[in-house]
Amino acid sequence: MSDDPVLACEGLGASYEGREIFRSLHCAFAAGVHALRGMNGIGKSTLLRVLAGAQPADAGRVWIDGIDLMQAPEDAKRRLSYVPDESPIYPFMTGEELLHFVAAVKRTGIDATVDGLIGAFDLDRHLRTRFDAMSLGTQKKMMLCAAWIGIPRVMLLDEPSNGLDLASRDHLIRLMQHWGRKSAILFAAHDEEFVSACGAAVIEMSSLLVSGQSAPA
Amino acid sequence: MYCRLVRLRLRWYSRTSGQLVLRHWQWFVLACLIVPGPPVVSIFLHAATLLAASVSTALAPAQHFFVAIVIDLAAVLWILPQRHALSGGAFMRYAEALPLPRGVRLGVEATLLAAANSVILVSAGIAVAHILSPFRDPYASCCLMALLGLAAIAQQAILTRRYTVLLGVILGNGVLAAGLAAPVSGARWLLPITAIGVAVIGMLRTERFERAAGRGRLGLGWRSVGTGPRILARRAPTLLIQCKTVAERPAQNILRFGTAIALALGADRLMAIFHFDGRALPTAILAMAAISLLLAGFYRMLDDARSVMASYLAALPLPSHYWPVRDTKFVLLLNGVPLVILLSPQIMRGLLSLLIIFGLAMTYQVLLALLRWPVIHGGRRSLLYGVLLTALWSGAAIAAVSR
Repeated sequence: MSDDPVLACEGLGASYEGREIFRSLHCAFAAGVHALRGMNGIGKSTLLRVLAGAQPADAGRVWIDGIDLMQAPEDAKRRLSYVPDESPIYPFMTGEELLHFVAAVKRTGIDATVDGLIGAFDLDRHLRTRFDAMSLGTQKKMMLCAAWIGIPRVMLLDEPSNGLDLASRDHLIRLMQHWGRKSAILFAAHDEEFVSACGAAVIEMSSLLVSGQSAPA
Repeated sequence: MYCRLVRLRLRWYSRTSGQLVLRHWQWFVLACLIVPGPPVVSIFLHAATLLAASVSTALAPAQHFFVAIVIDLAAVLWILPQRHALSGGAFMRYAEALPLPRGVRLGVEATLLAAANSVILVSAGIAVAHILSPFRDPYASCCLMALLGLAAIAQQAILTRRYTVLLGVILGNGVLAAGLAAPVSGARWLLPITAIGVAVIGMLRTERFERAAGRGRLGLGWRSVGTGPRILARRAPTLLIQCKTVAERPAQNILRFGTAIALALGADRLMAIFHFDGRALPTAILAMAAISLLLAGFYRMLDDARSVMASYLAALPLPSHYWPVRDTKFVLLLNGVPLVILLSPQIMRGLLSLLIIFGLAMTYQVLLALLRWPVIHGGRRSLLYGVLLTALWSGAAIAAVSR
């Protein structure tokens, strides 16, 4: 495992609905599994959104696998995957349509990893179900499957274990441990058991806010 | 059991659709006052005339078929805004787990459908009574019943999202059209019965297939051979999203696109009335301008629908022009239909050189592409900017093509 940072940010600032969440935030993550921990409302989801490019930063820069997210957003986003806390997907889209759409956008196909994940999550029977007819757990599983499309170097997962059944949760843990060897996986979670099972390096959001601490590589 | 369930469903229906049904009746009363003739009854008499025309033996089979499809379409458009109220809400998801007999379910659905169609049923009842007395032809009334039955099945298919049932309805309409054109004989009675039978069999088979599959409406596995949308999902996922966005608001979009087509057909008729003289081309250009304003509304609809996914889409490697370019292409594609309707008479009659027609068509498409800007970024003045842009184009186009 290389210690070079795969995900990094510098002087990052963001606000949510006019309220400043953080400013001048610095961080760098090498390949590995990193868990972002902190109180509700401290800005974990905002940080993940900003790092993923889902929310524009007020200030600062983000690098994904060495590519500047602001300068070359397409190249950078081709190397990252983002799973939000909720599923902001068209209610009329089916799971299969989402997967094909993400694959087309990333100019790749649905490979054996994703196919295996679909099987492990028991999603075969939900592939043709509309998102508004899926349970929250199924929606989450579908979003997680989409995240593994295109061999991402950086994965930003917001509460990935929420709503998952035990078998799916165990499979996700194994997958994250395996992928953590070559990619940087940063996830927000409150579930201590899940965090320790993943073998994740814990980063306190409060410490990032105070000192702009770099996470352990 | 039936009485209890139907009471609950009707209560939910009246609670959730109260304002909508009231609005329907208000429009109906207003129409009663506006339609020329004796007050109130004149609208029923006009409806009776239309229904009588639909089963008149004077029409050709193709015309019968067309009228039947129009009636189905009108029935579907009528029922669509009531879809939520007719669904029964969250309670019905719970009731699905109860051992309700199938007959009770069907009876309740039929009762709800009748309640939702109350305005239409009143007019249809009066119309049937009206057309039966002069004809004294039980065959015509039987065909009319079959026609209304097919429309009800089409409504139910749309409400339950069983779109494959519509194929049976279309086939049934074809059989009915053939039955209306068939010579007088005992055997022709079989045709309206067959028409209904075909649609009902289609409905039952779809239901059976869903039960057998046990996994949603079409329950095919991940690796099975693709149907149309599945192939589109792989080959052109963006186009599929756009098509589904449009399909998500069928009443509004059918009305918008239908009005555009009707405008094009109306302009064609007007040009024919003008005997394709000097007034014909300005008529076509003005129709194009009006159609472009109508179709530009699709930009707003596609853009608004995407706001749900905005945060997720922002994290995908999409260039900034990805959606604007694709939305423009989609709207230009839709515009192809009215464009062909408007320009084909000019081409067939050789009224203008092909080069001028090509130039006109191209600038018209450019106008529609440009209209995206005021629609999306014009804010409260979007309509004003759109009208100004369209007026500018139509003036320039008329000046350019006038001799």
